[in-house]
Amino acid sequence: MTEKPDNTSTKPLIVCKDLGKTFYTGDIETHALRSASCTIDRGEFVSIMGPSGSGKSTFMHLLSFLEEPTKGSYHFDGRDISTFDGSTLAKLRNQEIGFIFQAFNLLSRLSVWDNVELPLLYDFYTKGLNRSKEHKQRIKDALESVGLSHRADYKAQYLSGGEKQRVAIARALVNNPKIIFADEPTGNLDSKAGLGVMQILQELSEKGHTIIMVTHEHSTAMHATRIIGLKDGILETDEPVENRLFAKDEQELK
Amino acid sequence: MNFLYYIRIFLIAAKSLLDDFGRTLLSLLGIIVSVLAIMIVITLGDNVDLYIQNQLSAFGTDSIQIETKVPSEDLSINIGDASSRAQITTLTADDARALEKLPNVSVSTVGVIGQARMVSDGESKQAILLGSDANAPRVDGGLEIDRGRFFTESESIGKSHVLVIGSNLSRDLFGALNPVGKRVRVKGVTYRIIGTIKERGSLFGFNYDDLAYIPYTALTSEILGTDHVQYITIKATDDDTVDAAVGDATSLLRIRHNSNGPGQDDFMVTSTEQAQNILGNIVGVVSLLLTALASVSIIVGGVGIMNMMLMSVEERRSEIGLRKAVGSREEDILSQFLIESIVIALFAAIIGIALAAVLLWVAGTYSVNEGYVDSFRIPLKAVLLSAGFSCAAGILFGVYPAKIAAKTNPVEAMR
Repeated sequence: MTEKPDNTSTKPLIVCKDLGKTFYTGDIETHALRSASCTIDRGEFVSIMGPSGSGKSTFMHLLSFLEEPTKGSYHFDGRDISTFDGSTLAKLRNQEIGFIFQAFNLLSRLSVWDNVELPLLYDFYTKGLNRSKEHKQRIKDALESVGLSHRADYKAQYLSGGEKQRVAIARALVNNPKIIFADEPTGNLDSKAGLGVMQILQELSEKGHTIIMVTHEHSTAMHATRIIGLKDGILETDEPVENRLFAKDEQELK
Repeated sequence: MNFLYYIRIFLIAAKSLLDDFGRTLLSLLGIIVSVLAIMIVITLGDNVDLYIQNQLSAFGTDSIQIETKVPSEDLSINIGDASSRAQITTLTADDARALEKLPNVSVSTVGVIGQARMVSDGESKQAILLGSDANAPRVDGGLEIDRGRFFTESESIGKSHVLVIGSNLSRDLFGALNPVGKRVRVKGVTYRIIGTIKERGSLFGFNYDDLAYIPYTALTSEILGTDHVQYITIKATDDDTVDAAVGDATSLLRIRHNSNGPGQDDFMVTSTEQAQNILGNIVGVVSLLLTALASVSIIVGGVGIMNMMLMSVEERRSEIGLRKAVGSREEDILSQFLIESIVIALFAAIIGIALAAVLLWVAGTYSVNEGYVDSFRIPLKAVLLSAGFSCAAGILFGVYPAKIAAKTNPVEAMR
């Protein structure tokens, strides 16, 4: 199995204050995210909820270094990321976070193994003689943790939707990230496959992984430990989940 | 399933592959044609140069040619106006004998060219007469006697009516018979054939097998009605004294012809090496110009590559976005697409080079078989240069699409 995350540090993983993002298209300003402040600790499983246009995706893109904020401050693991350039942010994405997307975003021509390996191809930071051996072991472990070791040589395009998303989870785990971002991970799946994905996410959470999941469905959000609610670009609610749902006890994802 | 189903699926797959391949090939057509053009131009230039060098080498690297020229005209051998050169009547056999006495000169021979009809029993043939002297076989390494003998010194200075004829001429006049001892009439005078020359072929389109050697005295005084020669060929004592011999010969002839310098010279002294250099330079300049022209066409080919890469970047936006999300930096994406465009350009170059090689090989083999040239080669520099140019086009025209790919916003690309 994959390594357990190092949660020994007590300082929060994410601290953002009045974070905002405005897009400029010609003369038109779009305030995708007006203001969001929150602190997220290690080991938390947070759902970001909101209707479409609420700014939840933009919020996640800012938190995951895919886009840079136009206002506010963001400290990740104690570092102020506003001082980082593009290459350093790329390094952060490569070394410290994992992604799961709604549309899976696998390279369909490649095998399952090669898809999972992808982040490691851009690992220019791990040195040492055992690098490739270690990488191989990590791919094996990641595939095992999502139960797809037997599909390693399959081409990604021949997998079912649920299997594809499990490959994507393995890809997100392969670099042993500090945090996993999941953007509507069950959005393209039927309820049974969706439930399978939620079960894996909850297992990872139990092992100590920090997970931030964007969803617009309340029932999916209820699998997390905390729900942050956005509306019209403003972080409005931030509450722990009462009556949390556990995927392993359910028949289907409602 | 059944067999037919798989055949159908295979055909569909093969078709889509070929469709794609056709599109790729079309995009690469520009580069392929440019590479083809560069290959052909360089190879032809190289072979023309080789041909000229070989032809001139037949004279021997230690031979020096002295021809008449109009004073103050500094055009090189064989390029000046022949009719005005013909008016220069100052070069004589005495010059040749004087040159032969120079320390760096081993032997000299004179040359006069004329034409006359030759008549044997029942056959008649217009032939080129090459007026020369007994030294000719010593000076001209390619001149070898097949049957009989060449004329002697007394024959050459004594206006003897003897001829040494080429193999074609012999065949035309006498068929398979041995011509030695036979007689022909030239301008009403009877000449005796004393020898034949080994088959030699053409030199610069001048076929040695069609001509007849005649003592220069007989040619000048009895057929042409002159008393000068058209050229003198001397040989240096060895390869190292060629330059010295050129200098000595020039000085001697200036004294004998009352010339104070190049502007007054009515003669021109050229060593084989100088002639090779002069002609080689001309061929080099022409072939450089043509190569430059062909290379410009590679720009058109490059645009084809750029087009193709732009399409590829557009089609693979989501892949690019994903790669960036998992940690590839801008420079990683940039190099990836740049490498792809270089590989594609080199692939086009390989096709172009292969096509050119086939075409040139066919043309070269044909030319050698037909006897137009002795040898034919495709120079390595043609291959390297055309591959290098297309590689450069791949880089030059790959940069823009690669930059677009590198600058792709991952969030937008994956949407």
